[in-house]
Amino acid sequence: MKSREGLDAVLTERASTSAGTRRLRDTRRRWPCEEGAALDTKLKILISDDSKLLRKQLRDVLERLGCSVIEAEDGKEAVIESLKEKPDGVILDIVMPEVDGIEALRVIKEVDKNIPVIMLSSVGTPERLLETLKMGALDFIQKPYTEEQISKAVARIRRKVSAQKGTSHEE
Amino acid sequence: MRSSQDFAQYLINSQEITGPEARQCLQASVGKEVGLPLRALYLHAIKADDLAPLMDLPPKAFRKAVTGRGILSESTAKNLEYAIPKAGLPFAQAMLDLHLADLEKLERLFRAYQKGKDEPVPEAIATLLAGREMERETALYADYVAVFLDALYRFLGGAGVIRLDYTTCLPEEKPRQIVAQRISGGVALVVGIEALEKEFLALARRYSREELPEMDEMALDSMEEFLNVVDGLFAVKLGKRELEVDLALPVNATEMHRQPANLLRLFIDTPWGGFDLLLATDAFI
Repeated sequence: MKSREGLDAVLTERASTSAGTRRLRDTRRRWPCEEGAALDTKLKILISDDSKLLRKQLRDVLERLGCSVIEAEDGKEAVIESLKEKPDGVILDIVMPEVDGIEALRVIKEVDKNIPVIMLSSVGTPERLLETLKMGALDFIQKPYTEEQISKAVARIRRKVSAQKGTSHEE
Repeated sequence: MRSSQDFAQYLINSQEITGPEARQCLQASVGKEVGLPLRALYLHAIKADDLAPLMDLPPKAFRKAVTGRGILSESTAKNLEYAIPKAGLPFAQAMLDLHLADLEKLERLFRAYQKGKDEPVPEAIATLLAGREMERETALYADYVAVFLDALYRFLGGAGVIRLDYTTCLPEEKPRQIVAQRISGGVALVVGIEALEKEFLALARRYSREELPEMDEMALDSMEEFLNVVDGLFAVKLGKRELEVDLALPVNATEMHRQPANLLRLFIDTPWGGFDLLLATDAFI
């Protein structure tokens, strides 16, 4: 597993005091609709994979499912984008440069334990699955994914977002 | 009964078919519908002699004839039609269509393949490694190649075979592209795909289902992703034997930087041309 030095630097930069960290977390919990956006607003999904091709293809699928998409090409960027863009859900690859998906999951969950994160990896061993679920991942999809798997994952994110808001979020 | 997946490899190993003939059949087998007659022949549900006079019938009439005469029951015919054939049956259908075999020959070959004790893929690897004193690697490489060829059929929609008549498909002077990935932990293995640009692009297009007009980041991504997916499947297989492994990031290069002593280079032929599958326990790019 990669060192989290790079991620610590990111977090320190964005919230250098514990009060800052609390503010960061408080902000993170506010969903778009709580800030005045319409309830049926598009889900904003952050996808993180080092493969440009995979990001393009995943973006196409998610956009067909009515989501807006933000891309990150490694785990470090995923953490930065997650803090900056406050997505409704995250889809994370595991084997990535800089910071791997497991470490990125840990930091993203540390900042916001409620954010739905779907792991997308070629290594779907039971150990890996259990490890990520214990760390708070909502689901684990083994590559190559099918459009149906992504559609189900998006539905799960949507349900979780709705439950957190206490609203009915129509699919 | 043995799956037909490795039927083509069996034919190559037993010299029932030549390398160039195998390539012809591979190309003709892509998307090939396998009719009820061949499915029934493979499962010994019908004999070549009974089949021959019915072969010119259109599919519906054939079904009616064999069920009407009690050669096949309705339920057997239905089950055969719904079964998804593995790679060997479209290949056999192509042999039949290209007149490289008749029904009688196929019946004999199916029986011999099903009775065979040796698995064709490990047998091919053992043949190529004979005399190299690599017993430990032979089993590991064979395990990996079986997963690789299965994935090739599942994700690219066409079979691959190990050619035994050449050890490489790559001419010396032409520019080539390599993608590789290291598997570490429970086993140490580095695998790679090396191909000329034309074949590399053809495979990349096939896997990604994208146009990929030229060799660029997307084409490399496609083949790296394919390798990553195959290695993930191999990791799952190893996991069942309680061998946990990690996958490194896939890498690419235009030439090999090292020639590890236990490097195995396999010429894999596919409907989209040949490439070399590289296996070693140390890095080569």
